[in-house]
This record gives sequence, C-alpha cells and structure tokens, in this order.
Amino acid sequence: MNKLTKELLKKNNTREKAIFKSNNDIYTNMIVYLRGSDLTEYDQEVVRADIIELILDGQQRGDDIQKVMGGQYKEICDEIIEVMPKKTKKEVTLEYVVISLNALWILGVIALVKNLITNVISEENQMVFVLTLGDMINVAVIIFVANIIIWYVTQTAFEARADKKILTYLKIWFIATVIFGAIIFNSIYIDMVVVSISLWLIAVILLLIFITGKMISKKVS
Amino acid sequence: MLIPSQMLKGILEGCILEIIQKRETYAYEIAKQLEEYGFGSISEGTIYPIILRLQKNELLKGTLKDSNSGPKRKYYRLTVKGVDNLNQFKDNWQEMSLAVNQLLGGEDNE
Repeated sequence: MNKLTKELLKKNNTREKAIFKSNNDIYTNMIVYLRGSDLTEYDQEVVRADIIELILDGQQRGDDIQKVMGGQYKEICDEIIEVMPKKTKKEVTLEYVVISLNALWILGVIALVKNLITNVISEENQMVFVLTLGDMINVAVIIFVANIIIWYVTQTAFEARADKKILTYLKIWFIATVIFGAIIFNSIYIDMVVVSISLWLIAVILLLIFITGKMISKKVS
Repeated sequence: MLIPSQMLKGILEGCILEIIQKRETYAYEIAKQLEEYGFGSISEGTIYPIILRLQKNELLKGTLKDSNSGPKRKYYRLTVKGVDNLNQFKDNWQEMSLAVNQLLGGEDNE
C-alpha cells in the first residue's frame, strides 16, 4: 500500500467512527463487498471516503442509510465497481506477490518461534530450523483457506443470515474441525524433513522477505 | 429507485451536468433538484455511481469543503470538458425530442 492510500485509509478510519451504530452494519457490508472487488486499494478508499461523507451528511439531516442509499446497496456497489477503473495485470500480480510474501514471513516467524522453543527445550540445543513436508503442506493449506474465507465473506456480505444462524454455525464448526484436523495430522504424521538449516539463517531470510514485501507494497496503489 | 436503463442513465448524466453548471453543488442537493424537476424520489446513493462516472470521464471535479452544518461535503463543478459535453447533450436532446415528438404527434394524426 503506497503512502497516499495509507493516508486516505487513516482518514477514513477516523471519519467512519462518526457513523451511527444503526447505520454501521449496512455501511460495513458495502465496504466488505467493495473490498472483494477488483478496484485498486486507492480507489476503494476514495469510494469509501465518499460513502462515509454521504452517510454523515444524511445523519446530519436525520436520514438513515436506507434513505441515503435508496435501499439497494448491492446494486449501488455493483454500479460503483462497474464505473471505476480496474486493477491492471501488473497491479494484480504485484498484489499477489505482496500477499504471498506477507503470508510467508508471518507463517515463517511462527515456525521460527516453534523451532526456537523446541531447540531451547531439547538437550541438543543445536539451533536448527527444521521444516517438514507436513509444515510445507500446512502453509499451502492455510494460504488457500485464508483466500477462500476472504472470498466467501466479501461475496456474501449482503446475504441475510439471521434465520440460518445455527446451521451456519454448525457448517463453520464442521469445516474448521476438518481443516484443523488436517493441519494437526500433517504436522504429526508427514514428518519427512525437507529443510534443515541454521535458525539464524532462516531469521535473516525472513527479514529479507519482510523487507521485500514492504518495498513492493509501497509501489502497489 | 435504481436507474433502470442505459438511456435514462444517459439522460440523468446530462441533467446532473446541467444542475452542476448552474452552481457548484453536492450529492444531496443534486438529488433534491432532480426530485423537484419531477424525476421522482432519487437517493444520493443512486446518483453517486453516475457522479463517479462523470468524474472518471473528467467532466466533473469534486472538492471537499466545509459545510455550514456538520461534516465536510464534496462539492462538484464542471470542467471545460464537462461544459462541452453538456452542450453536446443539449443539442442531442433537442434533436431527439423533436424526432420523438414528431413521431408521437404523427401517430396521433394517423
């Protein structure tokens, strides 16, 4: 995220606090839906600033979000998405690279801490970072599932869920159990060592991944 | 109300340009003016995508300004390209309304 986008995001975060609680759910649904679109992060923030302004102006007159937006929130968001310029292929690629690098350093730090604890506890104390095939599969599973969750949440932002709360809860509980079960199974039973290097070296590699991710991120609008 | 067709969208674009040409204004006031001219109840949310399109095509420019009451508002004014586009719309509308009136009038006479 570049500087301009970051500044606008901060301003919007502050301004949206003035939105009344009664208007907040629909406003959030609109923003979540727009987040799932192919608008650039900067354009998402520009639109968000305008929507906040419309809502706050409406609140000032005593109008709720229903009156301000005319009730057809998804259709309005679809029209906004249709009008705004889309991310270029380069922007999409850079965004995927940044997300992947971020996922790598975050999961890498978790693995590093896990390895550090194991090394400290063990009597050998060799300070070695061990990555098994199971760990690698888990990284892929976590990134895939995270993407699916984001896609699902953004695409269903306007769907009424109130009448199916228990069913939805059971579905989520079942899916989460299967995923966590698979992750635990992978880390226990798929223990073929793929990487075994110094903990310090992996710390440097993770730092480099982090810095590279930040540098590319500044170029993404 | 959502704008039901491309044609109405085009007409609304022209009308919004005309309202903004009269004076620098903001979304709610544009919606109110359209309502007063008989376009029915139109929310700011409905006209917002149209304003965005006009901005994208560089026909409008929006500036955030302090309002007399409460939060800042985005006021819109026409660009030079916007004025040209509005004049073009007016010419097209004259031609089209003349043609439609003639057609409908002709129908009455048959």
